[in-house]
Amino acid sequence: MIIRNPLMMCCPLLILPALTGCAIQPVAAWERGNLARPEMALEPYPLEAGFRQHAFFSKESVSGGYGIGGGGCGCN
Amino acid sequence: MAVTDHGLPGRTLTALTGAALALPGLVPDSQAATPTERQWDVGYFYYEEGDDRMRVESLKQSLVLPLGDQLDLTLNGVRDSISGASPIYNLPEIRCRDGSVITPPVISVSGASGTTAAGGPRPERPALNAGDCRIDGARQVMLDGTFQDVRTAGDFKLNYYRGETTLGFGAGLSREKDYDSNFMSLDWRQELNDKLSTLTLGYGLASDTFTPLNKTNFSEDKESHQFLLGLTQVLGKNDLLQTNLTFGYDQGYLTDPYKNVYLLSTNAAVEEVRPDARRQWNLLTRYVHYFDGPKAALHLDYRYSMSDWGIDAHTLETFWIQPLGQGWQLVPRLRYYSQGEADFYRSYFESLPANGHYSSDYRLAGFGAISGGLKLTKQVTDQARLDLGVEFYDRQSDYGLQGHADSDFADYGFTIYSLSLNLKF
Repeated sequence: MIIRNPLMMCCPLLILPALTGCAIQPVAAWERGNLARPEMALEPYPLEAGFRQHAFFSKESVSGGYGIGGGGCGCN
Repeated sequence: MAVTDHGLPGRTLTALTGAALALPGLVPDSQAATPTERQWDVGYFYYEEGDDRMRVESLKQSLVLPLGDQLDLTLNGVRDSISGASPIYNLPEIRCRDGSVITPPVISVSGASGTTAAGGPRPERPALNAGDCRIDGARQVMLDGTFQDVRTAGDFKLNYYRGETTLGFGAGLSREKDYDSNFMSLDWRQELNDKLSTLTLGYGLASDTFTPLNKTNFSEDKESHQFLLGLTQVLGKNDLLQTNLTFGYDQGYLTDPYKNVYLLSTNAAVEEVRPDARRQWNLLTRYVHYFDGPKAALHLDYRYSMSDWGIDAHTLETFWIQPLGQGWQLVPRLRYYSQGEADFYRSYFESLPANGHYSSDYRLAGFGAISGGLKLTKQVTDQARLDLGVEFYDRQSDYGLQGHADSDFADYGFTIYSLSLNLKF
């Protein structure tokens, strides 16, 4: 299957850990079962992730990157 | 069955990529976009620093409610109780040839008025660099350990789904004795390429007011803008990759009014001053792979950060979700962080720098940190999952990659304990 969307040209932007090049395979809808597993979510434990990121944000000088929104605190 | 349901085209990627738009800690979980079930997460977290320093107890909850076919609403709330001591400045230590270690006198302390632990008259500072005595290292002076505060925050996030497009709007507020924040966010997500790709654009704004407790009739504002461009890509039936580029621009009062710097020229501790603007870029790549054999998921995240305060940082994190049977899962986790020091950071200063910016905040020093954790989860019923976790964080000046390994006097560690419940109903 040919990659149809020009956005796929963005591939070089992606840093592929453990992979080389643009090794994107077509994946049919019925093959997406594993991808839909809860442990395959990019952030499977959002509540805990929230607390952890808040702790790192308070103790390290860079923060963010994971998303947008949210407010500041007097913690840093 | 749940897997099949979620596997419907259009839902998979939405669910998988929604998390891209959660600023962890503040607007959690949009992972459950178009949830087929209501969901409630509630958790208790305990953060404790070594040496009897800062402690934080936190109660968090997140409720996701589907509203018909095209909308869902997430309501988040958090209450943090914060107490304990934190460092306010560093005193250089003077070592002399006769073996004595002398800390220079502190004639005056600004603002935070930390209580220096030593009693009795202080020794006069000996002549430095005259052969007998020289500065070698430093030690931290702590703010009074009776400090207490409570942070209460709440926000909502509304998602609207139309075809392959999702629009999100969120807003919320956070309140502390000395710090108020109001914030909102907008995002747009577009599924592309037969739903194998999702493009995300987002904008967030926070408007904050600082009214430090150590000052009277003093109030300063800060505005933070965040922009996000993200691409999530299915690489194969077991592989998922996300890349986010974010830019943050903070403007206003960015100084920490509880932090001082020590000046050797006058033997005084004065309030730090930071620039009134900061630009920060983050490039985050997250990779997830499913192993059919052990039925386990590997997560690998790398973030490169750069700010115009002169700080660059690397964050590498990995965790592994291993099912153990009968609803149990074990999740080991490892994280490495390294940052360079801010241009205006020194452990202490000879005299005030001409450019007017100076800080001795240990968080602006160069350092590295390694943390490791373990988490056990148990699917108790079809609807309920219990999570129990612990994580240890070790900050060491010489773990840093950027070579500013001279803040070892500020090394410390903390532990996070967590207990949470996930309920689908």
